[in-house]
Amino acid sequence: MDNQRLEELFLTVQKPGRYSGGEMGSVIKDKEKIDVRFAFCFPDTYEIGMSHLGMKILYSLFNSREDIWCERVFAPGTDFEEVMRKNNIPLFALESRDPISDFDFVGFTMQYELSYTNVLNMLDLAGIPLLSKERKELAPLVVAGGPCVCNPEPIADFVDIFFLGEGEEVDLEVIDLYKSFKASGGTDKKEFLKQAAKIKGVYVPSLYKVEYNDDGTINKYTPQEGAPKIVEKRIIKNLDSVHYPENFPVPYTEIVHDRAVMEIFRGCIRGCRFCQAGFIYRPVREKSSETINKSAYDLCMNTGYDELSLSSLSTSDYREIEPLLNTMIDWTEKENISLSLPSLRIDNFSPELLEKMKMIRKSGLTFAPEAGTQRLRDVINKNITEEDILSSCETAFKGGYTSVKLYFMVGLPTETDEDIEGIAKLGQKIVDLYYSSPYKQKGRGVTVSISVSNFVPKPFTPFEFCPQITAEELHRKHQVLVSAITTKKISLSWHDSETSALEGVLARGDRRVGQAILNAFQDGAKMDSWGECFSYERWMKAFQKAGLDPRFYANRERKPDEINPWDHLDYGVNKKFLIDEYNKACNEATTPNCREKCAGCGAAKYGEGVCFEKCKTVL
Amino acid sequence: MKNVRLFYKKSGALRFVSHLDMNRFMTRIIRLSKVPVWYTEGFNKHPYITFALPLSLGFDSEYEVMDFRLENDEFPLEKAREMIKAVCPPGMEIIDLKEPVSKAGKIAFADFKCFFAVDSGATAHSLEDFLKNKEIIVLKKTKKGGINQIDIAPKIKDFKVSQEGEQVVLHLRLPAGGQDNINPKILINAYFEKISSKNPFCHITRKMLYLEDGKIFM
Repeated sequence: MDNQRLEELFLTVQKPGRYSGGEMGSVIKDKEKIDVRFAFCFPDTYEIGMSHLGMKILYSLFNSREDIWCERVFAPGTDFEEVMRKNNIPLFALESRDPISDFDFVGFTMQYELSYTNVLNMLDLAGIPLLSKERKELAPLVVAGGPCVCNPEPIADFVDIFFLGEGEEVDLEVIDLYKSFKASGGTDKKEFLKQAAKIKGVYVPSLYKVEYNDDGTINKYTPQEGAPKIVEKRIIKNLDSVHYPENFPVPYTEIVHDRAVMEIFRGCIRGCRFCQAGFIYRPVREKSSETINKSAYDLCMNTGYDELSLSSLSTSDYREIEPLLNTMIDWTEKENISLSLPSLRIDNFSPELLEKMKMIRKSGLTFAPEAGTQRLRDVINKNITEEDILSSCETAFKGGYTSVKLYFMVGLPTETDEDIEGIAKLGQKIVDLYYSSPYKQKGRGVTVSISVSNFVPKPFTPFEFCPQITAEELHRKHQVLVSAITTKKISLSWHDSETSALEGVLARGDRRVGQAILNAFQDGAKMDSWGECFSYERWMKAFQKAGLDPRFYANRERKPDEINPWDHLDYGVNKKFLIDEYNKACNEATTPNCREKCAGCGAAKYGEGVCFEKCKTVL
Repeated sequence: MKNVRLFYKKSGALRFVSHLDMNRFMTRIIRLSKVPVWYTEGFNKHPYITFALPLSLGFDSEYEVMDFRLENDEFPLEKAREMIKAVCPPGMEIIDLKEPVSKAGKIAFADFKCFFAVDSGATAHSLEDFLKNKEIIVLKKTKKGGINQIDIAPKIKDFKVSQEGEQVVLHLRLPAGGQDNINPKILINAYFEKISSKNPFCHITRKMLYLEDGKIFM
């Protein structure tokens, strides 16, 4: 299709800026002069995908190589999808507008389970066969990375290669192998996959045979053709020398996180037992404050953004946060850039930090106690006390804040109705604190916003063994909470139960779940994380048609010696540690954070990061 | 502090940038250019920029106008213009940077060039006849969300129709600005409705802005 006609069609749909490309900072190359074309696909809309830091890093890294051209691809909105299908427009990459079926690699970043059907829809729109075994040619190779691939089994039938862990090194190693494989005349896909499987961090699912027991659990995984028995994730050892983008395509249209983002460290020292990110990104590795300062400055100067956000799993755990902010405030003030700090913890939220934040920008304060009672916070190892929460709120009120946002989860292991009511009680205490505090502002009330999400047990967490509660039970718990809140000063919002139930099944599903995903897609499922597109009934039908019981994956207790679909993958934390942590959780015992005391999770084997911080000080 | 006015052309990928998005985009352009621009002094500091007349999504323009303020009265306009030119992406072309002459509120008319393919059933002849009608009733959305019936025939200040190869070309001068504003699309839609043809894609370029007396808005 010629460009003019395509652009005419853009103008018939909502927000055409999502499809037109041509943003400042986007990379255009001469395709005659490159060896490898990589379509970086984010399986959701432009607004979501363009907000994702991982894509910015890899896009910039790949394109820093002269022989690679990496382009961006997003899932079209439903209106444009209709136009594409009607006019036979294959899914194209934003930069060249070439169909992605012409590319060497079609790579997906898997950030959340509910995007699985979008992967299938995008392959379908591209005219690429959905199943790996139906794609006989070497190219395009369908590859995937991101947090969800720590249990890639539900999408194993669709993907040729998974990259486990951080992609900066392993992705390029596979691209280089592809380049030399092709240069030496290689055309056989199976042979390529066999060679790729030898690279550390590469998981080729088709090289593993799965056998099941009569009760449906896994009997064993057998690697074939010399593939490794255990596939180990990759990490970047030195975050100061790893590539960080100096520039990135800056969207014309507004996106979810429309600002410059600076990563400050990877991993998290805390070990909250529900949090997958807290385990799969271990060990904690920090960037130096010099690197952060310089990269952030360059990024702002090159993109023209007037907003900068520091990114990590727990910003206030950065060891040199105050000196870093001091240095950064110097130039951000001068350049009229507003700096924001997400992910602050309650227990190390100092008055000094608040003072800095006030200089930065006055926005709302958000805390995440996650559970309503101390007992339950101990179970999930969220090591903060009610005192921490109240004193942080007092600090905030003193600083002139009159609204506080709190994040909680329901459906946590061992949770009772008392714990749910604890959420309401804690909210009430904060309201009372405001009215009894000397910092109460005349004529201004307080707003406590309570936002409740549903706990979903995830692989590689101590709760990977836990049964998830059903959608009906989640619904009942929401009602308990609603009736426990008696003041209008508290506003409550909660997440839909049925999407959480599906997320739980997909998160811990095995290879057979792929058939259910395919059934659901063929029955029209896509954009499942968008409420208006999601249909629980459709998914239940899809499981039934595949002969699967979703409850088997989500709602049963898994024995410690059961073989999980992800047990042949190694993310650093070992299973024995997870079992110990689960037992401690059941006994309401907490585990200190990585900096206080090593819990022996196994991530020390990478020889880097927080595990060795003390040794460095001694040396 | 000094008020200055930027004149530029907008086309290509920028055609898909809506008026609201233009505001953010131009703020970034001004920031990137490092021109010493005046910032508002509130809690949320930002360069003070205003657009003379919004442009519909999908239109090209050969005469866009944006005002902002320089921090320093003495800063040479030529230098500022070159600094902005240096950071413009494809699709944006700077015409000039000058001190404003008229207030943006004085804009009264705009010229448009519209063209569409002949295979749409449109002919120069029938279009000319249509535009010569004494009365052209169209439905226009009001700001309050209602729909008004209006007669736009008397509002067409000037028009010229011609056929260039496979395309019918229409030059139009219509009321523009705060007092009265007519989008050429309304007129074109009415024409295709009249000849009972499916509305084809119509490429529209805003060519120029004028004052009440017919002088160019500067």
